[in-house]
Order: sequence, then structure tokens, then C-alpha cells
Amino acid sequence: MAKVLIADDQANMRKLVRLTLESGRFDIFEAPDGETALEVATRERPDLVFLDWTMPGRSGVEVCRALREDHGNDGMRIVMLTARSQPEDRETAHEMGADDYITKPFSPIQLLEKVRDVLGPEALL
Amino acid sequence: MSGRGGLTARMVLLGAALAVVVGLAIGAMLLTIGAMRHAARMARHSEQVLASANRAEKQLLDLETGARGYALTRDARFLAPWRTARSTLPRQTEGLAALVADNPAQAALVQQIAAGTGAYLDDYSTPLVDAVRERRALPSPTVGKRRIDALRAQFARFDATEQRLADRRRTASDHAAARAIAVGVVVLVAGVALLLAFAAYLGRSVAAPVRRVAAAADRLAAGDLSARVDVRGRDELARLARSFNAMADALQQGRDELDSQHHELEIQTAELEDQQQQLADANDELRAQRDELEHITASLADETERQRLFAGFADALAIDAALPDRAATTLRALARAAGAQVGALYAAGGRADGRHDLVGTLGLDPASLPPRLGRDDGLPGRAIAERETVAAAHDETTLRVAAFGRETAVRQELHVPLVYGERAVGVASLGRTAPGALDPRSRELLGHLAEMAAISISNALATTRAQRLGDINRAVLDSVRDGILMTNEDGVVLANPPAHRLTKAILGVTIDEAEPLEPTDVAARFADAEAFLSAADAMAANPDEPRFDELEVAESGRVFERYSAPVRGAGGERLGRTTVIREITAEREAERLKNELMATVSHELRTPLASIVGFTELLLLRDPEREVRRSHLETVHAEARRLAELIDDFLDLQRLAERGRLPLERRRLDLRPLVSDQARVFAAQSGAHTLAVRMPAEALVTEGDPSRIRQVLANLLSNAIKYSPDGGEIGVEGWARNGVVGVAVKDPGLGIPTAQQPRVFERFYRAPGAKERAIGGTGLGLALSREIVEAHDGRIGFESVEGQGSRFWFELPSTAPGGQP
Repeated sequence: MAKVLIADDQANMRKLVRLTLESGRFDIFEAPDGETALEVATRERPDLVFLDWTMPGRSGVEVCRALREDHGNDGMRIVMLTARSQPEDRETAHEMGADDYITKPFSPIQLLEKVRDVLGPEALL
Repeated sequence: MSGRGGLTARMVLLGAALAVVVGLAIGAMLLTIGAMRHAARMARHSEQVLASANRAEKQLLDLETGARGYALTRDARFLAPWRTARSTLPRQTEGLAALVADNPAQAALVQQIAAGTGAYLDDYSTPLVDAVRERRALPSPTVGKRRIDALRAQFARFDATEQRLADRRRTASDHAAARAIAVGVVVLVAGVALLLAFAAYLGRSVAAPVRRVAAAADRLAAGDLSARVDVRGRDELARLARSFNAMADALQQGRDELDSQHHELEIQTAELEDQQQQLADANDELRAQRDELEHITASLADETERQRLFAGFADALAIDAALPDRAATTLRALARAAGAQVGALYAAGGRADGRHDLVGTLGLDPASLPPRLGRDDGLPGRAIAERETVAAAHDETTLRVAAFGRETAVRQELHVPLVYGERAVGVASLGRTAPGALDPRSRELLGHLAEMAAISISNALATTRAQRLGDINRAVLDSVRDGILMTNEDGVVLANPPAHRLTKAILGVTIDEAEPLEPTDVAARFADAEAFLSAADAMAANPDEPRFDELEVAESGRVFERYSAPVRGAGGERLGRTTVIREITAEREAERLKNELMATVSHELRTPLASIVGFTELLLLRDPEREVRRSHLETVHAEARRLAELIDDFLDLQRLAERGRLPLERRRLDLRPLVSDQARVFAAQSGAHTLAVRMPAEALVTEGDPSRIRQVLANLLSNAIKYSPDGGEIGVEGWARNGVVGVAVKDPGLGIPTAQQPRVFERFYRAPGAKERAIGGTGLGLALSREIVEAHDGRIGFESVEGQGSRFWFELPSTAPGGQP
């Protein structure tokens, strides 16, 4: 079972992502801020991490960079899930090592398609 | 000349003979007179001898009588003549001897007398005197007497001889005189006779021929040129006659020639008269021409005077460039030409109504005149309208003006329009105190001067307009905020004050100091030196292209916009380049803030929207159970409400921006329940924070709009949580004192740096680090809160220390519970 980490300070968002992924077979972890996200990611080594950008403490891109600096996370796929929609934000995220970028609001179907793209179709089975 | 010997020789011979005869006669007479003079002298000599002998005899007697008198009387008085005689008697006898030295007989007698006299003295007279003196015996007187007598006899003899001699000599003298007279008479008679004979000869041989010649000459003189003289003999007179005849012939010939010449002269005279007439005619013509010349000269002098006046006027106009000076000069010149004493000058003001302004007066108080003149105002107005001089005469009492410090009667007014082209640029009103119209020449002069004045005034007006325009241009340039520079090959030719200020801000040096700098020198000043240099190159390559550039100064971070464009003259020629510099630091900052805001707003709106979209899609996709569905719908509802509130915030601010004041629905309310409700809402949002609410027991009553006050509370609580990222206790307290009710929210968070504190209530202001720390928010909350509190006549504020948290509070006017506000 693939491990998925959802880092977002908004409880509603974490809930929405979790509900969306419930149809697949994932181990889902949640983190309400950046510090927690790093801690969980380092411990669990998830296959996929959804990172909100605007969080208390360390922001999503900071967490992303920190994760990429750790070679233990080399196979980890990181997707930014944020309300920031500026093109330069996408670039920044890419530079920080994010694999993909989803802007809020998003459709649950869109989210699932992204998961399939990143982890392969078998992840959703 | 054989004839010469004739008459002349005879005359010489006759003259010589006459001279010999007369010489002989005079010689004889002189001899006779010499003999007579000798005889007379000898007679006079004899008389001298006699007188001398008498003086000697008398002295001898003085000797005798003196000595005898002394002897008788012994009186010394008698000795005086004695002494005299004794000393002089020898000299007397010696003189006598000298006189008769030529006569030996008499000389011998004198010698005897002298010897006798000396003997008498020595032998008798001197011893007698000595004897008397010495009282000796006297010699006998008879001896003396005898000796004296002897001596007197000798004297008598001498005298007699001499007397005889004298008589004889006198007689000889008389004879000699008689002879001389006789000789003189003979000589005189002979001389007269000879002269008469000579005269007779001359009359016969000279006078007659001369008379003939004279008669012939008279005839000649009378015009008878045929008069001739008979020629007789061969002497000088004959020659004279021949000469005369020759002369007469010559005269005859000469007269014939003269006659022919005279005839010729008459012809010439006629010609001369003819020429004289012609000359007179020419003279008349010359006189006429001279009169004409004099007239022309007078006109020229007059014209010269006018030209001088014109030149003086032109010079004065050239010197006085300003309108008031030119007006004064013009008035003086025109008044002089018109013989006017007072005047006023109105000039076109350049206004649409065509009114003229008073620009100068002469001898008049400007305050007593209308300051403006319309096109139809009286005589000057008519002069302007008709562009013709208007003259008016007055009786002595009609028009009086205050001039020269008193009232003066103006007898004639002249209103001279100053016409330039088709336009009357002014009017000179002149007043003459002398009666009568102006003579035509002065009128003409006045007209010419007015033409000059019109050009000058027109120029001055144009200059004034140009100056005013220049002043306006300069004022406009000075008043704008942007720096405006004009440059050409010579460098900076124009720079307004902001240009100086901005240059200093951009380059750190003044314009003067910057001028010699190369683009490469100043490029380092800018954040993007490359861009600056390429802009400089592009400008040099395309001088006709306008350019926009943005320059950020590396040192200060200030941003400037530079617009540079070529400046062209009326003919299209390039005059240089204008550069307009404007600081756009604030605009760039505002733009940056706006972009940030848009990003923020977008982010803030997308966050609740994400929940709404996501949960509604889940509902649609999965059609969950009732419980799940309800939970989803509640989430969607709450997020939709949050979205609506955000939109309200934006709209509120938009409205504030438009109207400046928030609309309020005020009513009486207690702050405490509002605070508790909001605290409960926010406490639920964050697990990391605890909210400690301390409210007083009594109600915090105010007149307010509850929804607005709730908005303020929500904002303060939201900020307290957001800016305390590490969690902790958020303290909320309320109070009522001094007529106000207040609420404060205290957090243990980041705090606000002192430097940033003044900006906290600015719109779109966000605390430093908010973005980096990914603290959400629009930057509108506090700005909006302040608007709301101030709209309630309250105040809002905070205290904060960086790193130790902040305490935000607001106070509203209190209303007593149950009472009226």
C-alpha cells in the first residue's frame, strides 16, 4: 500500500483529500503544519506527499526543499496543493523539487488523475 | 648830327662871355672893397693905440697922486690906487709897445716912456712911499713933478703922432669906399646890358621857331592832322620841326588805322551786346535755379531736423525696451511734435474685448484717467475704431485738467491712433494748451512718429506677451513634480528645480557635476547597469526616437522613469532632447503591493472555494450517506460564509475608497456578548492557542453597528492567532471608564518592529515576514477596523515589542445603561 502524506493547516482540506483518496488503497498520514509534515515524512517515508504552501511554521516549499535534501526521500513524489496560482509560484515550487502542482480549488477527480499519473495506475486499484 | 653845334654852341659862347665880363667886374669890386677894409682896420688900430696910451697915462697920474696923497696924509687909502698902478703900468706899456710894433718911430717912443716910467717908480715913487711909511725925510716933490711932466710930455707927443696917423688912415678909408661904390655901379650897369642883349638874341633865334611848332601842335591837338611846320636851317629846332612833322605823319597814319579799328570795334561791340543779352538771360535762369535750390535746401534742413527727430525717437525706443518706458518716450516725442503739454497713452491689452490699457501719461495724474478704454469710449475710442486722428477744439473754459500741479485749460485735443498693419495697437491722446489747429507739416510729422510708435508699441506688447508666456512656461515647468531637462550639443540648456533634485537623487551629484560624465561613469549607479548602457547606446543610435526607461538606483532602491524625446523647432529642425524624469518608487511599490494583493486575494478566495468545490463534487460523485452528506454540506456552508465575508471586506474597502465613510446601522448594544461569541469562534479554529477572556461585570454599552463591531473583533482575534505562530494564550479584556468602553486583544507573538509601526493601519500593509511565514491575510483587516472604529467616533491603537507580541485595543463612546447616548 502506498503511503500518502497530506500537509495542510486547514482541517477541511486534509479531510477533503483524505475522502477523495478513500476509494484507493493508501496509508494516509496528515500534518497540520510544516514541522509536523517533515517529521511524519522522515519517519514514514511516504510515496506521495501533498503540501500546502501557506502553513504556520515552515511553509510548504520549505518543507519540500528540506525533503529533497534528504536522500532517503529520493523516490518520494511531492505535489504542491495550494491556493497560490501565480506562474512564478509554480516555478519556485519546481525549483524546490516539487514534482507537480495543483491549484485550489481542485476537483477530486483531477486529484485522483494526478495521483494515478504520479504513482502509476496500480496505485488506485 | 651836324646841327647840334649850331644853337647850343652859340648859347655856350654867349654865356661864357657874359660870365667873364661879370667876373671881371666883381673882381675889380672885390679889390676895391679889400682896400677899403684895410684902410678901415688901420684907422681902428690907431684908435686902439690912442686908448691904450691914455690908460697908461692915467695910471701914471694915479702913481703920482697916490704917492703924494699918502705922503701928505699918511692915509693908507691913497696907497690902493698906487699899488694897482704900480703893478699894472708895466703890462700896460708892454701892450702899447706890442700895438705899435709895426711903426718903429712910435715903438721907440713907447720904449722911452716905459723906461721913464720904470725909473720914476724905482727912483722916486717907491722910495717916497717907503720914506713915508718909515717916517724918513721925504724926497723933494718937485723932482717927482718934473719927472711926471716929462713923462706926460712924451705921452702927448706919442698921442699927437698917433692922432695924425689915425686921421690919415681914416681919409684913406673913405677914398677906398668911394672907389668901391663906383666900381660896383659900373659892374651892375654892364651886367644888365649884357643880360638884355642875351635875352634879345634868345627871343629871336629860339622862341619864334618854338612858337611855330607849338602852333602846329595846337592844331594837331585840335584834330588837324594836316598841320606841318616849315623847316629852316639845320639846328635843333629844324630837327624838332622835322620830328614834329614826322610825328604828325605818324599820327595821321595812326588815326587812319584807328578809324579802321574803330569800325571793327563797333562790330565787336554789337556782338558783345548780343552776348551780354544772352548772359543776362542765363543769369535770370541761374537766379531762378538758385531760388529753387534755396527752397530745396530749406526743405532739406527741415527734413534733416525731422530725420534727427525720427532718429532720436528711434534710438530712445531702442533703449527703452519695456512697455512703460516706450510709452513714456512715445508720449514725449508725440507731444513735442504736436506742441502738446499733456497726454496719455493707451495700448492694446491683447484681450478679446479689444480694450486698451493706460500705459503712460505726460503731465497728468494716471489716477485721474480711466485705466481702460473700450473701442467706443469717446474720442480716443473713435480714433482707435476709425484708425484716423481725431481732433477737437475747446473754449478756454470747457476742458480743464489737473496738470503741472494746477488746473490747465486744454484748448485742443488730438487723439492719434497708433496703427500697425491693419490694427490700432494704441492711441495717444494729446492736449494742447495753445488754441488753434495744428499746421499740416506738424500733422504729417505727428503721423510719421505715430507710425514708428505703433511699431515700437506693438513690439513692446509682443515682447510683454512673449515674456508673460515665458514666465508662464517657466512657472509651469517649475510647478510640475517631474524633472524636465532639455539638452543639446552644448549640454543642459534647461532644467527645472525637480530636475536638479532628481539628478542629485539619481546620480548623487549636481547637474553641473554630472554633465562631463560618460554613460559608463554613471551606469554603476543603477541596479541594472547593462540596461542603462544599452539604453544610452540606443538613444545615441536613434536620436529621433522617443524612449521610455526605468532606472532603479542600486544604492537607494528608488525607481525612476525616464522619458526622452527629441525637441523640434517650428521648422522641424532638431533643437535637442527633452528628458522627463519622474520618481516612480511609490508607484512601483503600489504596483508591487497590488500584485501582492491580487495574489493574496486570489489565495484567500481560493482557500474556502477549494473546500466548497471539493466537497460539492464529492457529494455529486459519491452520493454519500445522510450523515456524511450533512457534514460535507456544513463544511461547504461555513466556507461559503467565509468567502462571503472576505468579499464583503473587499467591497467595504472599495466602498471606503469611493465614498470615504462606511454606512453604519447603529443601535444600543453591549460589547460583552459580541466579544464572547467571536472568542468562541476563533478558539475553535486553532488548537495551538487558548483564549482567556476577562470581561467586567457591568455592561459595556455603546451605540454601534453590531456587525461592524463583530468585524473588528474578528480581525483583532484573527491577527493575534496568525501572528502568534507558536501558539500561546490570547488575552481578551474589556473595560468602561472615563466615558468610553474598550476592548483589547493581547498576543504573545512576533510583535511589530518599531520602524514598521506607523504603517500598521495602512491598506494592504502586511507585517514583515508574513509572506515568508506564509501567514495569510489581505492586509485589509486593520485598515478596515480603523475605518469602522473611527466611523463610531472611537479610536484604535496598539502597543507592540518586536519578538514579544502585541496588544491591539479600541475604544468607543460609552452610553449609560438604560440611558440615552
